[in-house]
Amino acid sequence: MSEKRLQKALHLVNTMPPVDIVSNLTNISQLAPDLAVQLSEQVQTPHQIDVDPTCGQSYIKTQYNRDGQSYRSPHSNQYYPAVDEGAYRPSGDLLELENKLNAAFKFYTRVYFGTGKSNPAISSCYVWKQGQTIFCAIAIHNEIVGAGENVGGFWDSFHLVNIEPQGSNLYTYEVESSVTVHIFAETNQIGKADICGSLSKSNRTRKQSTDILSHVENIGPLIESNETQLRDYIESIYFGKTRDVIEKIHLSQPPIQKDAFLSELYGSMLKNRQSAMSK
Amino acid sequence: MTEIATHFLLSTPAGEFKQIMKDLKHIIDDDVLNDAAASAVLTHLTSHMLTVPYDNTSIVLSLQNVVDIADLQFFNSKTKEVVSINPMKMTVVGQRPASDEEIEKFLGDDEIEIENLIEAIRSHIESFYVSTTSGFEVVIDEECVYNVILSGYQYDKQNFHSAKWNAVYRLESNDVGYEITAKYSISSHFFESGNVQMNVNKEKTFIVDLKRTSEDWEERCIKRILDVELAFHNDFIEFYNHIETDVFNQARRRMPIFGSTINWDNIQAYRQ
Repeated sequence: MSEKRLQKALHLVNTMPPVDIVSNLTNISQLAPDLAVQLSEQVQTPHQIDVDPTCGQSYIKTQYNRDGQSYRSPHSNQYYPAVDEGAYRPSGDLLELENKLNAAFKFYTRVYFGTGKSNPAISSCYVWKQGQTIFCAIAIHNEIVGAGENVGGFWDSFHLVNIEPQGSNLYTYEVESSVTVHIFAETNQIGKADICGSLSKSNRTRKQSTDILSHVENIGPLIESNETQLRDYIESIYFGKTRDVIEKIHLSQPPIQKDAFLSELYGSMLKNRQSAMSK
Repeated sequence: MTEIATHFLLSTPAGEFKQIMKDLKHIIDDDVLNDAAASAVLTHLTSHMLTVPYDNTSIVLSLQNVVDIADLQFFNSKTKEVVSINPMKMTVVGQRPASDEEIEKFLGDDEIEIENLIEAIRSHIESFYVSTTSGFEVVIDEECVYNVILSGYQYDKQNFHSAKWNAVYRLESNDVGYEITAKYSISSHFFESGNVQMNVNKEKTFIVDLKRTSEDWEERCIKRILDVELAFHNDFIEFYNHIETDVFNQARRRMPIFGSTINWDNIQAYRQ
């Protein structure tokens, strides 16, 4: 019963306008307080950004670098506002993995979101362990700028990676990826337009890993592949399917013109066929 | 609790009211749900201008042709009837001829002009609204100004989408002809493997220099409305093409700036 109730609550939240996801999560948590924690874990909200005061670099606040009201910066490994010394901070191999992931994805965001010289996107990676399983949370945020007057938006992606040892240096890597894209515009041509949505997919692989760096080498392609596939899917839905579905309700050209075009096309095909047969 | 449930119902995409009611049924008590539904259903129907099939045509449910809010009764301008609807089944459950007062309230005192506008819409605009759940109404408002109301929507659960196209034209006559205020509201919702929603709202005003005394002013006015509506639809397509080719690539490229996927085995060698 509670699983069905959770599924219904998720369906409800995921039917509401994606631009209102934060307030909708708050509202559903008031209707069903028993589901609040599970919903917050399963529903992706827009990334919030903060700045590490020690180095001036931005980082993304997630539930995976949070302790109460404080968030740990991956640049300094410190919480802001400050917390007790007992709060979680990775160390040893986990810290090395976190640092290597942050360096790798800093490069990743530069080549996928930046110009090569400048990098507008922000990425943050956080690592922890539960039992034998290593978890990595990778968050990316990119603001759409320079797209024209009164046109803007953002890309948020989030990847949760499980690294499960299988013995003999063999590991299973499982990635759950979600992407949220929001584009808004206000122009004389179209009035006010808003396109927002989120899609998700998962992926897994089994690979050998002998050191921390090879974990990065194994995780990277999974995330790159997931993001590119989600990007392609978003593009086909946001633009291709939207145009098609609207055309199924309201035509953009007179129906007789479409018939005339098809008649002309059919006529040309017949002529070509007759010409080919006469040779 | 009722307020929150009402908010969710009011935020529902076109035609998905029943699905959200089913979700809420598992989350809140039936009493709270019923109160919320009673508060929200009329606004959902009229804000999306949903349509109900009736007599080989459809009735558009809008605030301009609502007769009784409590009993969900609407005026059918094509047949001069008042229909009662079942909002969950989206069917007509009762109908009666409109009274003389109702006819005068919704159609004014020049029924011939209304008939001519209806006929012109049937001849020139109706064929552009191609979903089976599309319809139109022509009524006058409290300022005795003609309102042409056009709507089409689709809810396709099997193909995981819903969408709507609403257009309302207010024809205000002046010394030179008609000043027409057009309001467009377009939306779509995809829910396969996620939740993607699009909303476009546009208002524009244009002049049609046809006086009410002109011959066939209704037909010529409707043809002008059609031209403006088609131009807007093509603007919509052009906008989408621009977003796809120029804006979306700035959200994230399909390939890295150097044109091939990253060689992760060599990730350390890449310059930072």
